[in-house]
Amino acid sequence: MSNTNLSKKTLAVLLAAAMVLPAAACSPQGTASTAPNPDASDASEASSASEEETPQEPVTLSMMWMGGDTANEMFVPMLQAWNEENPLIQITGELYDTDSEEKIRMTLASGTAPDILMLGHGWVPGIVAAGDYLCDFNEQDILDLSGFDEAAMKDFGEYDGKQVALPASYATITLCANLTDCERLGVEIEDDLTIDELYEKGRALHEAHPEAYLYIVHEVEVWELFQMLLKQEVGGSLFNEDYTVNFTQDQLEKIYNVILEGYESGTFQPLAEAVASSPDGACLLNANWVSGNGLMVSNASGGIIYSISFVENNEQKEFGMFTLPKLTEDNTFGNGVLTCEKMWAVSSASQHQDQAFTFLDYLVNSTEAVDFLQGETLGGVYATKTQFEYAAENGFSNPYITEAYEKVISRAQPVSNAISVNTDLVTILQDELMKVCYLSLSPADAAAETMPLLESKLQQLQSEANA
Amino acid sequence: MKAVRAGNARRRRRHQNIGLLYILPWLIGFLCLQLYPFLSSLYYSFTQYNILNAPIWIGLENFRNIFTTDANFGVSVKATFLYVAFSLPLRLISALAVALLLNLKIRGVGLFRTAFYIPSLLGGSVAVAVVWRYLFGGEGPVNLALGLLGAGPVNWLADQNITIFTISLLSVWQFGASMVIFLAGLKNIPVVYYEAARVEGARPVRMFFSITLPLIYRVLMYNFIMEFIRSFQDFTAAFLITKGGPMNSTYLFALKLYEDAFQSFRIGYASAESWLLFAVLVVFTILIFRAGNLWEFYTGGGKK
Repeated sequence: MSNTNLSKKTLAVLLAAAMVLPAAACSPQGTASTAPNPDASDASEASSASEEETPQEPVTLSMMWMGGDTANEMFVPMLQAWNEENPLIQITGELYDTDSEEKIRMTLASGTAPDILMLGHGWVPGIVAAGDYLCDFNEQDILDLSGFDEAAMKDFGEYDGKQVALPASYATITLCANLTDCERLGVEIEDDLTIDELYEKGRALHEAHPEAYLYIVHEVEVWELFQMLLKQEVGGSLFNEDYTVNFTQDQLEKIYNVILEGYESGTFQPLAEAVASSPDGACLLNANWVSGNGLMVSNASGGIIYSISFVENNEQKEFGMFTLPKLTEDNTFGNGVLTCEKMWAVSSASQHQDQAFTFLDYLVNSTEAVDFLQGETLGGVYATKTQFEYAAENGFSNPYITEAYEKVISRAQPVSNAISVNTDLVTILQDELMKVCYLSLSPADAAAETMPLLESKLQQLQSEANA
Repeated sequence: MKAVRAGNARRRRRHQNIGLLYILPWLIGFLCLQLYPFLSSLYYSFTQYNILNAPIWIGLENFRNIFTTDANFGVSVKATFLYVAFSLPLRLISALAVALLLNLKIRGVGLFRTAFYIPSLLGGSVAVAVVWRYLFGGEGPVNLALGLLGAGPVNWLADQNITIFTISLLSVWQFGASMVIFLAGLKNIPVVYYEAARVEGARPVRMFFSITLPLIYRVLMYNFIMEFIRSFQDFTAAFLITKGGPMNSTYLFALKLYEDAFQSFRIGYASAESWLLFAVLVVFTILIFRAGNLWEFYTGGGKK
C-alpha cells in the first residue's frame, strides 16, 4: 500500500515537473548545434555564380517586416507591384511581431531565416557577435549606398568594419511641448533648454499651479533622460568595449542628483502618481498631459503623433518640438538623441543575395517605394536623401516628425557602442535609477550600490564572451 | 490447453496494441512537447546558450551565478513568495466558498457555474489585464468607490508596497477550475451525514468543519498543490500589468525567467532558474504531502 502511495507521489512530482520546466526549454531544440554556421563567403560565391548565369527561371525571395497592420497595408501592395514588374525576382512577404528577436534568432540559427530581414537596432549586436549571419553591404555593388548619410550609416549597422544592416529610417527622441497650454499657464518655451532652465520653469509653474507639471516622465522617459544626461557628463558611451565602466561613482551620483532635482523642484510629476494616472501606464495617456496640465512629454518620433492625438482639443492647439535638455550651456557632446528603430539586412544563408540587394536598392532608394510606404510606416524619416526629399515634397512626411529630426540631427549624441546597450547592464542602471525616482535610495547610496553591480556583471559578460 | 493460453496471450497483446494506439497522440505529445524539453532544459542548465551559438558546457556556473552575482534573484524570490502568500489562500477560499454556494439546491445553478468559470477562461488575457489597469488606475472605479466612502485614493499599481497585492487579486478572479473540483468533492459527501448532524442539533459552521472539510480533504489537498504550483508559475499579471514594477516589487520568478531567456537570450541560465524553481516546488510538495498525512481523515479509523 505504501509502495503504491509512494509511486503515486513520485508520479505526481514528475507531472508537476513536466508542468514547470518546458517553459525554459521551448527554445529551438538543437538548432544552433545542428544548423551550419553560415559562411558568408561561400554564400557570396554561390550568389556570384548565379549572377553570371542570368536567371531564366524566376527566383523567389522571402522578406519579413514588422509594424502591424499599417505596415502590412503598405508593404503588401508594394510587393504585388514589384512582383508584376519583376517576374524574375519574386518576393514573398511575411509580417512579424515587433517583438520577434527570438523568432529571428531561431530562424537564423536553423538556416531558415527570410532572405531580407527587418531587424530592431538593438538586436544586431547580439547577432553579429554570434557569427556571420548577415551579409556585409560593403561587399556588394548592387545596392547604392550613396544616399545614406555616411556617418549615421556607420553609427547604425557597422560592426568591425562590416556594414551588416542599413537604417530603415531615422527616429529621434525629443520633447513635444503643448505650446497653447504653456501660454495659458504662463510658461515661455522658445528654444531648447538647459536642465537648469527646465527646472527653473518647472518650479515656477508648479508653485503657481500645483496641479500642473512642466515635464511628464514615466519610467521609460526618465530612463532615456538619465541616459542622455549621463552620456553628456561622460562624453561618450557608458561602457567601454574592454568591459569596463566609463563613468565614475561621482559622475553617476551627480546625474542621479540631477534627476532627483526634477522631482524635488516639481518639474516632474511624482513617478508613482504619474504611472497611476495613465490607464495603461504609458506616458502619452497621462491624465495631466491629456488635460493640458502636463506641458511636455518626450517621445520617440513614432509616438509624437499619438501623444498629440490624446491631448484634449488637440486640433485647436499648437505643439513644438525641442531637443532633450543640455546638462550645461557649454556642453558640446550633444543632447539630441537620434535612433534607428528598424534596420534592413540580408541573411548570409540566402541563396539569392544579389536579387535581395536588387530589391533592397528599390526599397531604400526609389521614389516608387515611398509612394507605397508613404509617411508613417517606419516611425521616423526616410534614411536616404532621395526618399527623404521626395517624401517631404509630396506631403508624406509628418511635419512634427520632420521638425523633431531637423532639431536633433545637428546636435545628435554619438550612438552608444554595442556593450552599452547590453540588456543586463541597462537593467541594472534602470533598477537603480528607479530607486532614486521612487525616493527609495539617496543618489549617493544608489551610486554606491550601482557600481559594484555593474562591475560584477561586466566581469560575467566578459567571461561569457571569452568562453 | 497450450492453444488456449497462446490465444489468450495473443488477445492480450492485441488489446495492449489497441490501447497503445489509443494513447499514441498523447504519447507523442508527451515525448516531444514535455519529456524532450524537460530533459533538454536540464542539459541547457549546465551550458551557456544564446540560441545563435551551440551550447557551451560550463558545469554548475549558472547555478553559482544565480546565488552569487544575480542582484535580482533575491528580489524576485521575495516577490514570488509574497505573491503566493497572498494569492493562494485567497484563491482557495474563494473557490471553496463559491463551490459551497453552488452546491445549494437553487434554480439555474448550471448558469451560475458557467458564469463563475468564465473568468478562468479569460483570466490571463491582455484584455483583462487592461481592464485591471483601468479598475485600479489612479482615477479608476476602485479609487472612485473609495472616494465615495471617504477614503483617499490608493496607488494600487504604482506603490511598491501594494502592487503585489493588486496583481494577486487578478489571479484570485480565476478560481473556476478549483471551484469545479471542489464542487465535485462536495457532491460526493453523503447527505445522511448532514441529516444526522442536523438531528443532533449541529449548526452549519460546525457541520462545515466537522463533516465537509474532513470529507473533502483529498480534494482540498489536490487543489492546494495544483494552485501552489500554479501560483509559483504565474507570469501574466506581472508581465501585462506592471512589467515587474514598480521597483521590481512584482518581479515574479517566472517573469525573471522569461526575461533572462527571451530578452537577454541566456537560455542556459534561464534553464538553471527553471530547475531551481522545480527543486523548490518538489521540496514544498513533499512537505505538503508529509504535513497532509498528519491531518488525513479515514472513515475507518478517524485521524491517521
